[in-house]
Amino acid sequence: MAIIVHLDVMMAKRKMSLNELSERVEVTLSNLSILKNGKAKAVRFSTLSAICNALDCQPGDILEYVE
Amino acid sequence: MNLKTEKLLKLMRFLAWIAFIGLLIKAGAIIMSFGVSVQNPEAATNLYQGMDLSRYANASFAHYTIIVFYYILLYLLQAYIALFITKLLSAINIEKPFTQTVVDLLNKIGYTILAVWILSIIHNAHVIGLEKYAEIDAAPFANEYIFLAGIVYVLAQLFKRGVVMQTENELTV
Repeated sequence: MAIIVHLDVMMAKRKMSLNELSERVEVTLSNLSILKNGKAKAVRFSTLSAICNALDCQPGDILEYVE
Repeated sequence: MNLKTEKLLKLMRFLAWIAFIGLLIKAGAIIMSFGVSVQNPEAATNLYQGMDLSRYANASFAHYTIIVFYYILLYLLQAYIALFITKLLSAINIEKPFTQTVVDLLNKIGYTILAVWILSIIHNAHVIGLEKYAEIDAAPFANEYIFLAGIVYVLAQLFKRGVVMQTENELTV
């Protein structure tokens, strides 16, 4: 069981690069890469809401729980 | 990093190096004096800076040899601890102090202090036994090493937890 991050899918749907997202949500590129590659241990609500705002989506579009 | 802390760490590292070299010299001097005392038993009265083990040499050469061996081992183990401390002070980074290297070094220091404690117990049992059966005045080693080993062990466990927390913090986006 794990949480899968679909950040790359949402970025592709919105045609947004990692650099652009990094500038919009004011999170460093390295931290966004950690999140995108599923290496993050935790996500702050402030970061999640900034990403949802930038990508115009819901948290469920980015995160998925699988058994 | 705070300039004062940085200077203090450098000074401590320098002192640890001095202690390491001093303890090696001490162990080396005892080995040399012991070698001399094998030929000339008079040398046992002053092995190193007034260390008089002639009472053991006069009673039994075998006991004398074992007791000198305890002293050499004690100083070598203390030198080993001093070496680990120099490594620890080089490895530590005040900005991010919780690293696996620091935990490993603290564990090694703790185990070496434990070895010193076991050595001091064996030495003390030996000399007290000699005092009882051969009526030689015993000069036991200090016995507080176990507390020091305990403190270092607790510190190592705290650092271990610190490594986990620091990693989690670094991987929080």
